Amino acid sequence: MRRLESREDLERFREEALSRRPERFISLGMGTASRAHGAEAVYFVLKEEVAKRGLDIPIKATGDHGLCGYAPVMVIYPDGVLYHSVKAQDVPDILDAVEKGEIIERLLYTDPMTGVTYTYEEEIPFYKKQMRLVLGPMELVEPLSVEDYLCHGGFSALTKAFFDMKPEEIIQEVITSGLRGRGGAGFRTGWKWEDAAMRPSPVKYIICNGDEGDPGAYMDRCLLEGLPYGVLEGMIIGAYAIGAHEGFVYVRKEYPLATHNVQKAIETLRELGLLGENILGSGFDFDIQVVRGGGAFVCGESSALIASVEGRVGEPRSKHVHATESGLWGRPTVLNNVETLANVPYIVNRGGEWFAAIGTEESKGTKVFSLAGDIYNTGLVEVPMGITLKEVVYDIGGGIQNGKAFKAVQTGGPSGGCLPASQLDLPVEFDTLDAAGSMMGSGGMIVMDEDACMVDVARYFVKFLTEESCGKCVPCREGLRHMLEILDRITQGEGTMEDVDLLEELGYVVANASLCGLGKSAPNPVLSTVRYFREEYLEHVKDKKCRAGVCKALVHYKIIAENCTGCHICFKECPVDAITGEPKGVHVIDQEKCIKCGICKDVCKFDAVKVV
Amino acid sequence: MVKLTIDGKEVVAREGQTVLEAAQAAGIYIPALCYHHEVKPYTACRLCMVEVTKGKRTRFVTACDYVVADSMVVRTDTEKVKKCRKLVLELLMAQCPNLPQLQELAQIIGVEEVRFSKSNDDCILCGMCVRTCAEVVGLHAIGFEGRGFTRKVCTPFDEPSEPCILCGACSYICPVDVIPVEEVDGYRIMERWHKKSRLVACSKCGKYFMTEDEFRFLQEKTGLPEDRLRICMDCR
Amino acid sequence: MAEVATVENLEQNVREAMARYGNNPARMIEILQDLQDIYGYLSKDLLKEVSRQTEVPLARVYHIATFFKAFTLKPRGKYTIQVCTGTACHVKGSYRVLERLEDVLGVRAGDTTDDLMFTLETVNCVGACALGPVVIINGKYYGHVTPVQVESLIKEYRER
Ligand SMILES: Cc1cc2nc3c(=O)[nH]c(=O)nc-3n(C[C@H](O)[C@H](O)[C@H](O)COP(=O)(O)O)c2cc1C
Ligand code: SF4
Ligand code: SF4
Ligand code: FES
Ligand code: FES
Repeated sequence: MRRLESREDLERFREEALSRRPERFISLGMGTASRAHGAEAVYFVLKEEVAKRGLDIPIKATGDHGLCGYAPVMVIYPDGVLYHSVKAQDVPDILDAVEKGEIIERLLYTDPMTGVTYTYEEEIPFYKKQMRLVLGPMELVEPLSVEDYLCHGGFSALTKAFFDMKPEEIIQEVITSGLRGRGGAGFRTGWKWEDAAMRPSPVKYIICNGDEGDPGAYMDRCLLEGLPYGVLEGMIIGAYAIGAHEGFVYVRKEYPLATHNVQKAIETLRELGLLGENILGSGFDFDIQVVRGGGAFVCGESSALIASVEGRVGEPRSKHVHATESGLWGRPTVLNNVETLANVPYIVNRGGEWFAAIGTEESKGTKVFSLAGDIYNTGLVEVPMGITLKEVVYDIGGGIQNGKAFKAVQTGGPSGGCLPASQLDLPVEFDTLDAAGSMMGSGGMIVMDEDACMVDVARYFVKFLTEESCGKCVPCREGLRHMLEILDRITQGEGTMEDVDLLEELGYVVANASLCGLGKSAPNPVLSTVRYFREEYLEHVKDKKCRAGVCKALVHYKIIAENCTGCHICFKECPVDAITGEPKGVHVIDQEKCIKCGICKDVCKFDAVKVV
Repeated sequence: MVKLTIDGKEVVAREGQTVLEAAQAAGIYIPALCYHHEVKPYTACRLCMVEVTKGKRTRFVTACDYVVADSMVVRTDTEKVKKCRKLVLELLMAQCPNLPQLQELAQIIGVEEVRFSKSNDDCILCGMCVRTCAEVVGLHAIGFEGRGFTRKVCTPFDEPSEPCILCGACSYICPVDVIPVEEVDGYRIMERWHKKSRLVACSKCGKYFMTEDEFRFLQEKTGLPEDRLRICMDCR
Repeated sequence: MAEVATVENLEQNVREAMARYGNNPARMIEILQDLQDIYGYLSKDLLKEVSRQTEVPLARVYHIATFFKAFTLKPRGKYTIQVCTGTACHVKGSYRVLERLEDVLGVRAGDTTDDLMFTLETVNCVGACALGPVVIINGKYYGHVTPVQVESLIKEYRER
C-alpha cells in the first residue's frame, strides 16, 4: 500500500478513489445482526452469480443497515431500491431485475401498520424520521475500504484539524458543539478534553470505550464493525487535541467481528501513514492498540476499564481524582465512548455551531439507539435529541405488534428505568430522562407490551447486575443480592408490603453508598418500576397475581374445554406427562405435575391453553 | 496546615491527611472496617462515608481516602450518613452473622435487627489481608476469587499457597480476626491458607520465633548470615 | 482446536502468547484469552505456567481467571450453546428456553455436561432481537426458539 506523506497526498488519493467510484452498486448489510439473519449465504450466492453473469456491479458488504428486524437488507444504488428479508434463492431474480431495470414487488418493504409498500429506502417511515449522521455512511462503505471512506469525506476532518486548527481550537469547537458523552453519563466531551489538554504531563492516553455492557444494546458494535475508520478518525483528532501519542480501543471479547475490523483498520492506517510517526507530515505521532476485554459489565466503568487495560482485575477505584488528571498508569487519560468519538469528525468538519443547532438546549446532536422489543421495526436508529419517545416508538418503531397495548419503554439498560405510557411525550434528552427516573444510557431502548411483567423486568436487571457486580464494595455486593432475593420472593408470590418498602430503602443506600457507577445506578430499574407500576408490585404481593402471566409461581396453565379439539399434541409434547386425555377428547392438565414450561400453550393450534 | 470543621468542630489537619485521620486525631468517631494506615485505602466497606461540603458543592464520600482541604465542612451525623451506615452494617451482619466485632459496631451505630436472610460467611471481604500480604510483606500469597457475592478471599485454587511464609501479618491485621494462627509441636499452622511450616528456635534462648519459610524469605531478602538470623529479637 | 494440554507445549504456548503482546504482562487478559482459545479452558498447570513466565503472582492471575466471564477453568463441551438473554429476548421469553435447556441437558448456564458434549452459556443481545428468543450453537443462529424445540435440537446435535 502507498504511504501518504502529506495532506496533498491524501487529497490525491481521494480524487483517485472518487474517479473510480461506481455509480451502480449493491449494498448488503453484513454486520453481526445481519449475519444472524443469514446474510452471509446471500452474499456468497450474490458474488457467485454476479461473476457467473459477468456483471459489472460491485457488491459492498457493509455494516448493518439499521432495519435489523428485516435483515438481510439490500439496497440497489444509485436509485436506492430497498429489498428486505432477502434469501439466497432470491438472488437470481434480483439480478434479473437489476439488469432489466425492474423492481421485485415481493421483496419491498410494506408498512405493517398502514399497509403501504415502499420502493425506495429514503421513503420508508423508519428512515424518514431519523437523522442519520454517524450512521450516515453505514450502507455506502465497505467497513475496511479506505477508498470508500475517502469518497464520503473520510479524513477531511483529520486534515482540517491537523493543518488548519490548533489543538485548543479543536477543543473549543467541541465545547461549542455541546457534545456530551454517549457512554451513558453525558459528560461534556469538550470539557473533558480541555482538562486533559491542560495537564503538563508529556505522556497522555486516549481510550475508546467499546465495552458496550448493556445487555440490550449493540450500536457501538455496529459502529466498530461498519465504520471503524470513522471512530478511529475521531480518536486521532482527540489525541491530537489533548496531546496523546498512544491510544487504546477496548472491545469486548464477545465482539469478534468488531475486534477484527478495528484491528485491520488500524493496520491499514499504519501502512498509509495515518497512524504512527509524523502523520501526514504534520510532525504528530500517534498509534492505537486494540485491547480485548474479558467480559465484565463493570469494565465499562472508567476506573475498572483502566485497571483492566493495565492487566488487572476490572475493579473500580475511588474517583476523587479524574482520569483526565491521573488515569492509565497514573497519566492524564481521556476515555470516550465509541459513538462520542464517531461524532467528532462531523463537528470538526462542519463546526461546533452547526452541531449545536441539532437537538435541544442541553442535549445536542443525535443519539443512536438499538430499538427492540414488541414493536414492528426493530433495529438501529439515529434520532435528533429532543425527539419524543412516542415518535421513536410509533413513527420509527412502527408501533406495538399484534394489536397489543403499550406498557413501557426501557432506556438505559441495567442503569436505566422503565417509563410508562404517561411519559411517552418526554423528549429524548439526558436530563429529562434522568429526572423521569430512567437514563439515556448508552442506547438500549426496549419497548414492552402488556405481556411484560414490570416486576419481572426489574428482577431481570437486578439479576444481571448481581452477577456483574465486582463484589468489592458492600452496598452493591450485598445490597443487590438482597434486592434480588426480595424480588424473587415477590415474583414467587411470597412478598410482603414490607418487602416493597425494604426494596426502596435498599435502593436508596445502594445508589448513594456504592463505590462505582454500577452500584450507584443499579437500583434504577427497581425504583422506576416501583414508581410507575406500583400497582403491579401490589398485585404480586397482595393478590398473588401476575397480570402479564410471566411470573411462573403465580400462574397456572389451563385447557379451556370449549376450545380443545382433542388433537392430542400437548399430550405428546408435555415433558413431564402432566396432561391426560384421549385423542378427540378434552384434555386436562394435572396441576401437581405441571412444571409450567408453557410448551402446551406453544404447541396448541386452537388457542385452548390459557395462562390464568 | 489545613483548617476544616468536622461536625461543627474546628479541626487542624496536616496537608494530605485524610478526613478519617483528621477526625480520629480530633476524637471524632467514624466507623471504618477496611482501612489501616499501613496499607492504601481501598474504599470497599463504605462505612466511613461522610458528607463533605467544599464551596457550594456537597458530596457523599469515603472519609478513609478523601483528602482534607482548607475550609472544608465535614458532617458525620446527617440523616443520610446514618441511614447508609446502618444499612451497610446490617448487610454485613447478614453476610457474617457471627462476628462479635460487627455486633459491637452495631451497638455503637445503632443497628437493632437484621432484616435480611443470613449467610454464614466469616470473612467480610475487606481485603485487608490480601493488601497487607501484597503491599507490606510483598508476597501476594493470597488473593480474591470470583466476583459479586460469590467473591471470596483465598489462596489460588484454595490450595496451599507456595509463596506464603506464614508470617501471620494477615492474621494480625484482619479486623474481624478470622485468620487463626496456631503453633503446635514445633509447627505453625494457618488453616485458612492450608499451610504448615516448621518453626525455627532461637539459637540463644531456644524459643520458637519464626517459621522456616520466613527464615528462608528473610535470608534471601536481607542477605544476612545464617547465624545472625537464627537469633530472636529479644536476644539480639 | 482443543489440543491436549501437555507440559511440553504448555511452556511454549505460553511463551508464544506472551510474545504476541510484546511480553507485556499488562496484556494478561488477552494472553489468557489466546491460551484459552488453544486449550478450550484454563487449567491449573497453565495458570501456574503463566504466572511463572509473566512473573505476575499466581494469586493475581487466579483472580483474573475467575473474575472475567470469558474464562473457564473447566474443560468446555464440543458444542457451545448460547442463549441470548438480552433484554428483548428476555421479554420474548428466552428464560423459558434457557430453563428448558437446563432441564434437558441437566446443567446450569455456565456449565458443561459431564460427557463434554455441551457447554451452556448466556449472551447479551446479538442484534437479532427481531428473531428473539435467539439461540446460537457453535456460531449457528436459531431464531424464534420455543421450549418445545429444545429436545429435538439437542438430539440432533447429540447424534451428529
Ligand atoms: C457499570 C458501568 C458500565 C459502563 N459501561 C459503559 C460501556 O459499555 N460503554 C461506554 O462507552 N461507557 C460505559 N460506561 C460509562 C463510562 O464509565 C464512561 O463514562 C464513558 O465511557 C465515557 O465516555 P463518554 O464521555 O464519551 O460517554 C459505563 C459506566 C458504568 C458505571
Ligand atoms: S458498586 Fe458494585 S461494581 Fe462498583 S465497586 Fe461496588 S461492588 Fe464493585
Ligand atoms: S480474611 Fe479478614 S482481612 Fe481478609 S478479607 Fe476477610 S475479613 Fe478482611
Ligand atoms: S474504611 Fe473507608 S470504605 Fe472502608
Ligand atoms: S436481545 Fe437477544 S438478540 Fe437482541
